[in-house]
Amino acid sequence: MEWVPKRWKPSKTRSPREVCSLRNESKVGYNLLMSAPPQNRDEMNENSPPEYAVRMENITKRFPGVVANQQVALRVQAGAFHAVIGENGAGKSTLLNILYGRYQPDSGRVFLHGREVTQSLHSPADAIRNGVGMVSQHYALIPALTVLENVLLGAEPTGFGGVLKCRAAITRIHELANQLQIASLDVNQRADSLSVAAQQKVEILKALYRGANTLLLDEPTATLAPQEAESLFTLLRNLVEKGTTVLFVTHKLREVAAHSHAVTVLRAGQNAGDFITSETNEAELLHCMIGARSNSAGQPLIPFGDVTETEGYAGDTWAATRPAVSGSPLLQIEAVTVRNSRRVEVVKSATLELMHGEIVGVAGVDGSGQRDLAEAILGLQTVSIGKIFLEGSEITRDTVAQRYQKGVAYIPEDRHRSGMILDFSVTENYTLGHHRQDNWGGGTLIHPPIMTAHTAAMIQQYDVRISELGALIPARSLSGGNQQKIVVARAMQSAPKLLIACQPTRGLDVEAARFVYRTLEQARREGLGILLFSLDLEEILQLSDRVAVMFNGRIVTVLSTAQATPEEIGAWMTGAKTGGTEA
Amino acid sequence: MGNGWLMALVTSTLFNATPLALAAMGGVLSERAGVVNIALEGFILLGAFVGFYFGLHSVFMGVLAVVVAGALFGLLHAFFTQKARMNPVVSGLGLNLLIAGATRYLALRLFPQGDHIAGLSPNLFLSLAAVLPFLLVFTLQQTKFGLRLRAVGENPESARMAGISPTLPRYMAVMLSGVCASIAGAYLSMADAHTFTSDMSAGKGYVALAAVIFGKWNPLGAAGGALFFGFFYALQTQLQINQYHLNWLGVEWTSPFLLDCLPYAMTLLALVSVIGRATPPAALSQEE
Amino acid sequence: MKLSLNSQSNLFRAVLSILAGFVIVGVLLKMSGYSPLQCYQALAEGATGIRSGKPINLSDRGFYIGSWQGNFSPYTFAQTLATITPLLFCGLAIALGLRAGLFNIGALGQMTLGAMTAAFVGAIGAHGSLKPVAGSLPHWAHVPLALLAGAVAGGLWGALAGYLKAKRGVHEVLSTIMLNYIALNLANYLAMHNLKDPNPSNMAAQTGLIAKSAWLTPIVAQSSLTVGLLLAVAAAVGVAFLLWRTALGYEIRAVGLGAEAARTAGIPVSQILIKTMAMSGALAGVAGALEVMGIHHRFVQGTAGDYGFDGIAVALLGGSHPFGIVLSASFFGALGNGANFMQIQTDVPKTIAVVVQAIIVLLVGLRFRRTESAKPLVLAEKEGRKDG
Repeated sequence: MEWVPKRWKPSKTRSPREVCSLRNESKVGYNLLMSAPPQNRDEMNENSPPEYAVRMENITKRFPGVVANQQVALRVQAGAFHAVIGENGAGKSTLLNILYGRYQPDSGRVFLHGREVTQSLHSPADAIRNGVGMVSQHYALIPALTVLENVLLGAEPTGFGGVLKCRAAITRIHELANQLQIASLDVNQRADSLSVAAQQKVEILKALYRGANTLLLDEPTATLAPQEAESLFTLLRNLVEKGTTVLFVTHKLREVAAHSHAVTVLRAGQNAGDFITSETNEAELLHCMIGARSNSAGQPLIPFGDVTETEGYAGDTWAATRPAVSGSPLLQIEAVTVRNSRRVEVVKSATLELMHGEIVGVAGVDGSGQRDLAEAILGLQTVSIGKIFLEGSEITRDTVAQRYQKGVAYIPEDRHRSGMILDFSVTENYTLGHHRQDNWGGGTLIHPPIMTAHTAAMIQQYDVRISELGALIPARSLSGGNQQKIVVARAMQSAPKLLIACQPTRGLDVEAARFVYRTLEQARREGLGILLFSLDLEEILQLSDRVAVMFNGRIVTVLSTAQATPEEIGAWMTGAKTGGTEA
Repeated sequence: MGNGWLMALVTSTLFNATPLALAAMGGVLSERAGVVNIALEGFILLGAFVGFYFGLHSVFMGVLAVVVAGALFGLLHAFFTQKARMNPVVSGLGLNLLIAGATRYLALRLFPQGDHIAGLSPNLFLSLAAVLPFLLVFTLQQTKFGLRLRAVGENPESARMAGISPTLPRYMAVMLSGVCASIAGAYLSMADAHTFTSDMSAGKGYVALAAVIFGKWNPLGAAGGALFFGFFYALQTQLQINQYHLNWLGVEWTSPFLLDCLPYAMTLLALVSVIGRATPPAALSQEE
Repeated sequence: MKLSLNSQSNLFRAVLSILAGFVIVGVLLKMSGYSPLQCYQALAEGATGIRSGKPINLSDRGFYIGSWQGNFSPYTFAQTLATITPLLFCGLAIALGLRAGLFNIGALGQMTLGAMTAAFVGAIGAHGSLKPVAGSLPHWAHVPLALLAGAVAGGLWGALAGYLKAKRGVHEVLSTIMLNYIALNLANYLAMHNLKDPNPSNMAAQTGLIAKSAWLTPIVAQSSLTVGLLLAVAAAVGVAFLLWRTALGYEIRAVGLGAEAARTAGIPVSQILIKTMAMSGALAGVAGALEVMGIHHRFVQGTAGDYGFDGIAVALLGGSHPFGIVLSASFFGALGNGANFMQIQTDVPKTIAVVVQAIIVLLVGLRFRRTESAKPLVLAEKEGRKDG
């Protein structure tokens, strides 16, 4: 650890009672924090009174083969709006999960409101008892249970014989819903009938129902439209003003700058710096996040710097440097409707065209039918109505294997479930889908020597880092970035014409993401058409020639790069704007 | 024939459905908590054996032993699948094999002559089988235990995030499942046959599991499934008792062998027609 | 062949499970008043055909041991080898299913129908009323034909379960259990009615004898050991070849380890499931045909015995690997035949072998893990950095 932490502490030490009173006079507390930047912040005083809602010291957490957190410190002022930032893989979520009791640190100490809880923090139940609530990215509400059941779960008011007593609880839930400005909440509605944004608010409600005074949020805006994210932050700011401590993890610097009071930066599992938001700027934070790898301040998060230098391009985005797209359409989707296994229409009459050498980004709130559309193009889902053409010939009824043969390639969204077989070796994974092709020696038999040779060439070309055991080790033991390299390499192996890429950089660190972007750019220059499905607007805006927006199963509009601003896309994503191309 | 035959069929249906319904309630409990329970078959056989053996001494002892044995073997299945992370199908098959082998061995050692007991009134079991589904609906929907059970069955990780450990509800559910199924077995030996014969469960545990799926993991639906399958067991026995004879196209349709197929064939048909529209508890399919 | 890196620990686990099974059952035997050592000695003698200690005269206890060669009874050992044959076939059948992620509990039914069909085809040219076709066949044609018939019947019965799983979503454990009962009753019905033994003195459910041209001759006089054992070993090699050298086998393993990824890669998962179940059923069907052609020379009630379920233990103990299954089938074959011998010699019911088998299944399936490493491994890959 060679960095010098810019720790800070408040100018005035307050007793817990004062902290409490600050919470009641919320405005004052907020202003105090913002307007009175602490002095002497390089000074450390271990004996200072417990005004930190959260204090984590020297946290180290190892997973098999990986150090997720190494000697990490985190201090969160009570009543603060505190952000933890870092790239994917920096250890942010691990830190949050330790605080919520889901993981136990290998070493280090955890304090909540000055009281050490290291030894008693064994499960989320312990964290909840200590006033900590968490809104997680993945394991949110239980879809099959009602809102009421989800909120009560784990904090059930019961009468004789364990029978639930819901009446008082429902009143309390409605009170909280009013406070949080959740309009017309039906507590008997199934959780999965709510939108992602509404589910998130119910999760916050659930935490508050248990009396949480510290709220943890893990990448809360990852699946939200810009407007929804804005509304979420308004809600959170209200909570902070009422005295709740909010700690959120993100990699979006804009959010940090706009909303937080203080920032902790993690890099590669270690502390990289602590800042008061009002005293820093995005460039400084970025530099801190990326470290020595950044060569200039203000470099965009998506690493085009490299591409521009090494590939001889200039300009901020690729779009600006692209040759004009021309010729006949590569992919035509004509009024395609897809029904899921429960006969619900998940894609409704979607129409889209993709040219050779073009990247069309598909934006939308999570669950707007993007995955279903992608799978329909691949043939993984059946098209109920409508047609799909590849280079003018219809592929609507072709099998998946036939479509691959005709030049479709796919980078699936869920690497572990759909992308690879974790217990297969690297070689077997790389062979997957090619195993019957002639140049793989395929047919009735498979030929391990040919498979091995192909894999060795791929490992060389894509710089996959595998241990000395070589390509026989199961893919499970590779890092996420290396796994994705194999998935991408496999997709590109058969010289495809069309690439369907679904969230190709999800969960990857910057270096692996760069690899993916470079590969996409390379493919596009070679004339491939790429359909890029992503929840990350920034990614879509930077990469796409045109942006299609999906809302509620429909492609509601297709915007040119000139029209596509985050606000415009957001308006379409949330259904604030309707109409457009669909007629 | 006529009316009497119909009455006999109805009564027979009810009593054939009784053990199926009791075991199916065990299936509902276990599966709603996210634990696949093939061991129902073994638990039935276990209950039949233990109820008979201890019932030889006193009926009360018999019932007590059935409950304790069911809970213990349920605990074993829970331990294997939860703590030891065993594939639930392997654990279930292993337990079925263990119980089948051990009861056959012990029956040969302990009562080679095949004793008989007075046992209990079948009506007792019938009443229990009639009340239990409603009790279970209430428990699942209206109690803390039921809510937690459903939560861990749907998504154990989310339940953990909500501050509850999936372990306790699952262990409880699988133990209760063992109790239900072994009571179903006790019906067979103590109230129906009044004796124990090896392999007397004869696939009823699997049929009960089919009833659970048929009833879409809902207690009342599962009880309905049990009645449906019970009807075919009843039909089969009534046709055999009445020595009804039908030879058509050169096939002895009323041969005991073909009649024996009836409940199993109907179970298979029911599964084919129901599944696809039914959504199992989410965690069931994720179990590795 | 691909050998997994932890095959050594698998072997260790298997041996440990077997030992534990014997210890637990030893306690049970002791508790029920037997001498475990005496029992296990008898078991070993029955399994190997080698007598130790003082010579035992078994003929007066009604147990045929054939002629002695010194301390060795070739007949008894041949019976052990004969028991291995159906176990090996059923173990392979179940392992093949497991490789595709399917629990084929239906080997019993598939074997039964295989036996019945082989008995039917084997009766070509036989005397009596059970004659599908007039005329007779030469030995070299009749044997393969009957075996093939058994394979086809078992395969179709297996494919039915595969179809129900792939197209209708019926869990294969339930469907195969139900199909077992149906197959057993169906075969018994045929043996009782339409294909019944024409000999009027026979009341039991059994067919007439098959033609001599379909008989398999015993390798050791009077024993049940036939060329079937060689076929079983060849089948093991064949399954290994299928799994690791053919595209179909690769697809089977892909579906078993990651059905979603296989589907995404364009592998027709439904077809693979059906094909796998068909091949699995065919292996069990051959086992049934061999029982008919080599031992009973007719279909009798219970021809398939418990081999279908024993096969589950064989497959699990053998780690679903064809060569592991050769070892575990040998073990369970020895256990089974040894238990027969033990029952005669010590009065211990041979069903105790089932208890040993169950304990082994349960212990071999144990997978203790540290509670934390399972899920966070995935998270760790996403969150953390490669260490070194």
